[in-house]
Amino acid sequence: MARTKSNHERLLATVEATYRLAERSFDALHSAAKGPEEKERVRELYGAARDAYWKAVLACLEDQSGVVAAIHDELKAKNRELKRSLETLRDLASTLALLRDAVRLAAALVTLAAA
Amino acid sequence: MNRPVRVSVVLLSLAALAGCTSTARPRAGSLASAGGAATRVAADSVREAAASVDRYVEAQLLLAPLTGRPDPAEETLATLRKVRSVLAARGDAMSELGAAYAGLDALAAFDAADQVERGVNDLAGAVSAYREALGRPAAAPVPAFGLSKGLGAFAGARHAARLKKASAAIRESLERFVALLRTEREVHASLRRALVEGQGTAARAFAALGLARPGTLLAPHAAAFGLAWDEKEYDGALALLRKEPSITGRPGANREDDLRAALDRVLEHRVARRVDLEGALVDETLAGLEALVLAHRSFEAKQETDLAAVHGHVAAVRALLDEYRAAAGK
Repeated sequence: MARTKSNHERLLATVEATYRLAERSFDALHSAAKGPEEKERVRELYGAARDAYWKAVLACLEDQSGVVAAIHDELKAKNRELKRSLETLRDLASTLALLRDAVRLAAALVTLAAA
Repeated sequence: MNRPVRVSVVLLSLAALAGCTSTARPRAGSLASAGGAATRVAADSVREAAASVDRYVEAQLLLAPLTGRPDPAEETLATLRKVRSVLAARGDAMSELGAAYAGLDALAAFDAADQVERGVNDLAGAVSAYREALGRPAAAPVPAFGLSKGLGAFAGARHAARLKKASAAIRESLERFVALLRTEREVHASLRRALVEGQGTAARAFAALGLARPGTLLAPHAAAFGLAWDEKEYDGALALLRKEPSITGRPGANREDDLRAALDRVLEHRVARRVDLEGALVDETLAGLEALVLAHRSFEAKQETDLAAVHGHVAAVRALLDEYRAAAGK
C-alpha cells in the first residue's frame, strides 16, 4: 500500500540527507583541511549536522508556514550542490561553505518547523 | 407429525453448532500460530534496532578520538536515550502481542480463558505505554477484558463465541499498535539508517587503523570455492604485502594499504546494503501485522482464515533479517 509522506517525514528526510553527507565526507574533509582551525571547522559542522538530525527525529516538524517551506526547498537545493561538490572535492573552501550553509539551514529548519 | 420435525430442527441446530465450533477451534489455532510467528519476526527486527542505539552511541564515543569527530552533545545523547526508550516500548508491545497469541492458542486448544485474558489486558497496556513513549496524547482507557462463561447455551457454541471475542480484543489492540507504527514508519526507517551509518563508520575506522581482522569477511570468499581461510597465516602474509609497492603506484603506499582500501570498499558496500534493508524491514514488518488484522476480521466474520499473506510477509521479514545479519557478518 503506497503511503504519502507527512510533513515531518519529508522534512526529516532532508535533514537526514545533510547529516549523511556530513558523515560520509567527514574523513575526506578532515584530512583535506589545512591547519587546526580548518579541521576544527569541519568538526563543528559535522557535530552540528548530527545534532540537528537527532533533534529532528523526536520533534514534530510541520511546514505550515511559507518560511519553513522556503528553507526546506533551499536546504534540498543546497544538499544537491554539496553532494556534487563532495564528489570531486576540488575546492575545499567552497565545499566547506556549502556544508556550513546546509548545516545552518538544517538547524534553522528543525528549530522553526518544530515551533 | 410435528414431533419428528421439531426433533430434526433441534438435531440440525446441534449439528450446526457442532460444525461451528469444529471449524472455529482449528482456525483460531492457525490464527494464533500465524500471529505468534509474525510477532516473533517483528520482535527480532525491533530488537536489532534497539540494540543498535547503544552500539551507535558507543561508536560515536570511539570515533571521536580515533577520527577527530566531536563527541555527541549532551542534548543528542538525551535524544538517543529517548529513542531507545521508544524502541523498548515497541519491543514490549511486540512481546505482549506474542503472549496474547499464546493465550489465544491455549483458548483454542483447551478452552483455557485465564491466559488469553491476561494476554489481552497486558497487550492493551503495552500499546498504551508505547503511545505514551511516542509522546502522543493518552487515548481513552481500554476496558478490562474478560471472557464470560455464559456466552452461548452449548459448550461448542460457547467456545466458538469466546474465540471470536478474544480474537476481536487482540485485533483491536493490534489495530491501535499498527496505526502508531504506520505514523512512525518513515521516522523509524530514517533513524535505523542513521544508526547503521554511524556503526558502519566506526567499523571502517577500525579496519583502516588495522584494529579489525578481516578473517570472517574474507573466509566465505575462500570457502565458496573449497579453500580454507588460515587465520594463522594472515600476519605473515601482511608482513610480505607491506614490503610490496602498491598496485596503484601511489608513492609510499604498499600492498597492505591496497588490502585495507579493498576491505573499506566491501565495508562501504555492506553499510549501504544494510541502510537499504532498513526501510524494507520496516515495510515488511508493518505489512505482516496489517495482514494479520485482516485475518482476524475474516475469522471473526466468517470463521475463515486465509493466512497466506501473513505467512508471505513473515517469510519476507525472515529473509530480510537473514540478509541483514549476513551484511553484518553475523
